[in-house]
Amino acid sequence: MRRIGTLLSCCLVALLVLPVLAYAFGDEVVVGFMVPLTKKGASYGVQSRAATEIAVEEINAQGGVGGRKLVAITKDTEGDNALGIQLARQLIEKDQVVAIHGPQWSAVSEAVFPICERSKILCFSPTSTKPGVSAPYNWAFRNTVDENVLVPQTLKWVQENYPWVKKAAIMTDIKDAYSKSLGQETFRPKLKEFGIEVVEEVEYVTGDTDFSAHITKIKAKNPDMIAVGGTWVETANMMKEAEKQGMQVLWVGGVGFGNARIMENTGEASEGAVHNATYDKDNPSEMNQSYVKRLLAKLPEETPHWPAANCYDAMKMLAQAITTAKIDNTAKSLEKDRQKVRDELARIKDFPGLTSADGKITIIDKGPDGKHAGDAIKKGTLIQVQHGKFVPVGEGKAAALQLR
Amino acid sequence: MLVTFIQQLINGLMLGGSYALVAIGYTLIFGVLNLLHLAHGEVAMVGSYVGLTLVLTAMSQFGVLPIWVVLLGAMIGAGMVGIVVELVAFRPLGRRQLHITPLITTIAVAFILQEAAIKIFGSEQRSFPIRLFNGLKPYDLQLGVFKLTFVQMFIIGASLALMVGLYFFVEKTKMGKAMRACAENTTTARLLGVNVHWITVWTFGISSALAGAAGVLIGLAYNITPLMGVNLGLKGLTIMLFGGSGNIVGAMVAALILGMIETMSVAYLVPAWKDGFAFGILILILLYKPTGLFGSRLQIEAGR
Amino acid sequence: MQVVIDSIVNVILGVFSLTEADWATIGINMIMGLSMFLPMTVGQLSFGQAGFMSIGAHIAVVLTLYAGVWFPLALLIAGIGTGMVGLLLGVPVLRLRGLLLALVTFAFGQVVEVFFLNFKPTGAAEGIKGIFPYTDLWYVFGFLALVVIFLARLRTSRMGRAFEAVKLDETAAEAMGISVTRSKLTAFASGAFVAGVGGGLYAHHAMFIQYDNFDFKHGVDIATYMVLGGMDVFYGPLLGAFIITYLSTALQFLADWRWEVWGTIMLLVMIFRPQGILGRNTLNVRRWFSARQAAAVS
Repeated sequence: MRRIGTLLSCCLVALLVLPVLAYAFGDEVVVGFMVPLTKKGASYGVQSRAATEIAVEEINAQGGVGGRKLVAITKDTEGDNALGIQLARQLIEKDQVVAIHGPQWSAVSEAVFPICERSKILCFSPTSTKPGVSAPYNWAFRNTVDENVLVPQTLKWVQENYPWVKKAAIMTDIKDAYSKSLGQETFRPKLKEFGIEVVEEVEYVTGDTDFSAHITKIKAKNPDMIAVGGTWVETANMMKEAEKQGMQVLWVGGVGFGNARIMENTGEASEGAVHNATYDKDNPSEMNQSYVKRLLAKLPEETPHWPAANCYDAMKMLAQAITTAKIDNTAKSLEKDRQKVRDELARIKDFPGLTSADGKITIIDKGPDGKHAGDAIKKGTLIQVQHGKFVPVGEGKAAALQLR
Repeated sequence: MLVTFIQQLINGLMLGGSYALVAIGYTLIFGVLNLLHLAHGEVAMVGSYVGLTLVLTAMSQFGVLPIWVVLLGAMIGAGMVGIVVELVAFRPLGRRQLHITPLITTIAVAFILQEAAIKIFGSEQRSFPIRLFNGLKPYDLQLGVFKLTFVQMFIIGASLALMVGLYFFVEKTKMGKAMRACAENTTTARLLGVNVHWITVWTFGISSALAGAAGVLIGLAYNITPLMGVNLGLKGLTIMLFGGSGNIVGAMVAALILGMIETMSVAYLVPAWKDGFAFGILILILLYKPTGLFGSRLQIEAGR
Repeated sequence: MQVVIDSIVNVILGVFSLTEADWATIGINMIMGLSMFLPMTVGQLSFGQAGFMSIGAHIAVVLTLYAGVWFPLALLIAGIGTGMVGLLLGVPVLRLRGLLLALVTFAFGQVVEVFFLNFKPTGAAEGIKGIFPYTDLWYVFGFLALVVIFLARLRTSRMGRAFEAVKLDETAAEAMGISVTRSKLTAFASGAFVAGVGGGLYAHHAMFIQYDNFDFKHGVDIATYMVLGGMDVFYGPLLGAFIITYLSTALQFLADWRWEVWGTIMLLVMIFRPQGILGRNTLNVRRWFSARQAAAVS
């Protein structure tokens, strides 16, 4: 008799407690973290994950977000758009996260942004650089500067320092959304604006290793400069091939160039290459040095690169937004919380970050034309490969390398 | 105009040469064992990483290694991996094999090797140290406007040498005869005293060693990534079918042709279609001449 | 040890917290698994189903997005269109068997991929975004049910037995008066049809398609559903699709070890049970209780 009584009371208590449990998320704020850890993009993803983990650890060590612990649920997108959509839905509906940090690839972001728009949740991509990728979606933001802003800065510097550049060729990776826009929609018109004639355009695809045919084709037109709409991996192979065929050109690229491995891969072939970057791994600032130290402690074999640094900054910005949003963090308030977090992120100004030359990052919601942009404003640094090292050039910094 | 064209021809030959190395190994396994080794490209990848590790460790101790040592080391390393693959993914399947089973197991092995490479070496693109190249530079050939680097010539030379060597091995040596016997009919071969077991292991070992050499050479000519095996494997497969499944000479010729097709389509047509051409031609060949351009030598049967 | 038990329990319980979107994906994968099963009933191993899926998806999207066609009609047209392509491909491959057939269909899938990579009207490399989310569970499982019913009845019908005969021995079948050509073409084209509709359903579920959503890797995935779940019966691919789709999300916590685990699982399955989990008689309950029959083929 007694045992049944105890059992019944326990059940009663459980029944009463369960609904309460269901309504409170407790002391943890959950965000989603989408990153490619395997397959396409793994070379960026692994370090990005480490950088994000460091950010989360530091945030929690300093009291978390509004007194609560920050938890990031990691999902491996494999750089696959379809999988990205599936994972985003899981994060939104099943894990009920308050915001999403990621995806990394512009192409995956393009697939995920509409889902977030429909579900009214903030999607903050740390590394999508395709021009205008976040503009169509009010809930989409990114921690990167539009290449349409960075490239003219690069070209202006090129004109000032290398006035003999009159003809250019463009190589575009048509398989990747970012690269394709950079090559065809940014470089092509911008080069024309600066009075440089585009004498040849060659397309390639991500993963190509043999560029003999492409370079030979370009060589026939004898350009002074080659602009690359692509990332460093294929560019390194192109540079080696050009050197082999005896071509002397100025290489110009977008943020996709920014990986120190390119010098190791190419030796002398990359001398003089210029790109615009927002992260300098050798930045002597205290924040960067401690970040790099912690990163190398986790992954000793790696060279710190900009996508990881962007992830670090983005997570910190997200945490700040969540803190200032003062969310209730319950199942019932989820919709309102998500709205608040998004609005707070849109208000971020002069955030102290790693990935800006002047250490300040501002997020813009609406651009000067009143339409949503969702980009970040940062100061970029022009970087040139000089004697096998990345050297910041431009106003007040090192001089341009003598090329001809 | 003409200069460019000739340069493109040379490019094509060089590209084909690098594919040939992988294709020959593929062909050997298919010819003798009737197996499509879909992880063959990954074995080549392993070879290049083994080579890279050797070079890097040696560099910190003794200095630059001669290229022969690197190749040999890679061949041994890749050969061993190949034998392990045989042990784990081929031998246990036994007799009751359906066509699809070895396809799936080799794909599974390919994935495992890829991920292992990423875990051990990181997934970024790597390159052989520049000092190694500087040591080879004096051997580059300059023919007027055209330059042929030592590595490129070595690749072509190595493929030819391997092809000839393999041909003689299969035709003239006792083991080669045993391999051909297995290719015809394993039961009869057993009856005649051939140790089929041993032959299988040797076949895997030899082709994997070839793949390892290919990996190093391709790594020298281009770069090294954990996923390089995917493309190599695919091309190797295409070439093997072009040239005639199991036909070694056919594979070599087909490799050169494929290299040309790819290069020419980049140079004069639409670069993004280059893979499409290769596969389109493959379909046509499979439909209208399933034994390949030169006919199968070791293993025929369009419908096996 | 505790961690292992926890994980296993989590994985099993996770089935109950699958969202609607998850179930839709599972359903679509089941449809794709069946689309590969159809040619298999006559012994044709087709690795090009991903290519057919791509064609169907693109047709359906073009219809709904640019022509505002009613969704079920768009699916039907997509299916028929894909089926016709299947027929076109099916004719020349009639005389191929086994490995070569697999290779040709694989090459076909690659050609389709490259085609859509370059085909500007459907977005080339960028793909198509902003597709209307028409797919819901009714459509997915409704269509799945239709295919399942068809296959179930096929087993005992005359056509089904003809297929079986062709699968076992073409020459004998031909000698018995069965039109091998007709059987093979029917199976192949209907496989393409199912894949086409599956593609249309997928496109309106993911709201975004790109040429590489349907690449070789996906072809391998589809083959895996069949291989894992069982190649001899139609409910095999259903089980296989469910297990693999579910596991690929449930095993997220394994993060970057997922592919090693996948590879190892597939290896083990191929070694110890190459015909897949479900065979013809696996679910025959009576056999479980009959000692004599238990000794027979599983």
